Amino acid sequence: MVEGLAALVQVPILDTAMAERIAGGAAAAIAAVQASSHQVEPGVTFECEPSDYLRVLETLAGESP
Amino acid sequence: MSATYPESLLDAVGALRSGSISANELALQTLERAHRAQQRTNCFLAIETESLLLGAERADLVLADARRRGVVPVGTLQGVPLAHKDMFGRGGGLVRYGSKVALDQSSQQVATATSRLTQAGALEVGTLNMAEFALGATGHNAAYGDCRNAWNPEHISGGSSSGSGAAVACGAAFASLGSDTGGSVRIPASANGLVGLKPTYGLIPRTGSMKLAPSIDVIGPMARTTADLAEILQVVAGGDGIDANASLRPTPDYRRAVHQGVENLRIGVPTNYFFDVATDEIRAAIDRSLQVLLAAGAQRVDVSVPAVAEMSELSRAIVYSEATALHAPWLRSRGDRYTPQVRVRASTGLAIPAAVYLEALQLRIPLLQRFVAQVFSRCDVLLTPTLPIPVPRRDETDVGAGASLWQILSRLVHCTAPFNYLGLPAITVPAGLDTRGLPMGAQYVAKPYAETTLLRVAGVQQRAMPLPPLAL
Repeated sequence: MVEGLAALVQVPILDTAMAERIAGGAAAAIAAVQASSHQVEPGVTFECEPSDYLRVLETLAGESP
Repeated sequence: MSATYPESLLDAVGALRSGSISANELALQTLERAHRAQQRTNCFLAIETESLLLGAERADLVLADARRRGVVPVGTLQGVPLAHKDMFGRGGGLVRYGSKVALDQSSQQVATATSRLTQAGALEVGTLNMAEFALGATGHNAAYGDCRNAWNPEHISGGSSSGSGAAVACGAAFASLGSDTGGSVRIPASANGLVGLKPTYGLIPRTGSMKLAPSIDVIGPMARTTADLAEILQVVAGGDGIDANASLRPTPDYRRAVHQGVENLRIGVPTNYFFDVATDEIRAAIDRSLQVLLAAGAQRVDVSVPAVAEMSELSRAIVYSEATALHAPWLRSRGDRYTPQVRVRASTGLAIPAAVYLEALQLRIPLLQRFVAQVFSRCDVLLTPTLPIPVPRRDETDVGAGASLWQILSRLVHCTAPFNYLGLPAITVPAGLDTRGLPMGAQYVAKPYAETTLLRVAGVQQRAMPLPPLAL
């Protein structure tokens, strides 16, 4: 899969070893996203867009600095 | 006879204002230290003698004029030598990003954070070593040579702001700005016995600085004392109207917070995750830190921390995806100029599907809301180790180190990376030396934009647990 995607965006992958290391580096991150998605209620997940992140941080900080 | 070299940034400010040392004399002494620091740690990518001395000459005119008129000089940092990670645009000239990929390109950008320091009168000793494109937590750099630990060069400086940690610890700069995407300010600060702050996402504008993963990146200061760090933060914090992700909230009085004490502050001690891989010596150091705060009137609260194990990886899903997107043009056109390790890291986003990346971003807000509700309803700050393990040797963390390499690397960011995902502020404070004479650090985390609370805690701890001076 890595080689296919790399070819699509024209980023060269030198050899199979490099492709394996890239896939290995990503595997744990992908698994964590899948695991975490089960921890959050679906209704809560999509109350805010990712672009609301700064506003949410400011809201959670409270009123005055 | 030459004047005594100031021990801290605030001492330097005082000495310059009183005239007990001139900016020129301070610059010359700092340069001499910078060359010794370079020999010991390889912390600089460039030492800029001429521009430093020229800046010092100008600062001496400003300082002399202020003394003559009996007023405080313009610029709170007038004549103070600093040095920063080589990732901040200076309106022309070369920015290396710790890499040889773009040596033929100059950056026309001006970084808001460093230009604010310049406007405050600070000088620059040079530019500092870093992990190539900030993609590494150890300080290894195959392009320019590894940056080594200031206390023992056989050990890592930590990264990615490796040069910042080593240079400030060696007294070759009074403070430094780095960036923190997974622990890159806190790890080298802890490993070199410094105070280092990863501010709340959006507190310091990133305009004109290198991007690694814009959804996560923050710029942060490190210094030898908490009061020095607060002085720098006071200058660089606050939105600039250019970085759309920099908050326009008014900034509080950080300087005052350092001296406010911790009476009745609730210190949360995690009951899960953060001490799982900590060594006995690190646990004991964190307990000593806690005892200092309790003796100063704080209260202990045990806290269970939700979903923290996954947060480092959630952060990686975002960092790798965004880093690969940013690096794609160079990976296409000049991929052979990357060092092999970093080329792989910069390409890792290729293996992360877009849906996974977007889900990691979507999950961040509800996970942050839950974390703040569950943790900061029970405590004001969370106390963890910064590094749960002793500072590793360089050969233990280099390519070819064997099976233990990945375990060590993951432990370096074990306690730091979760808070990058959440965007929460976190500070590392020296927590003594281990049996090998290397620094240990305590990390404190607070709710968004509660940097003043972190400075209160750090101020109390550092006054009670000062490190011995580093013999350079």
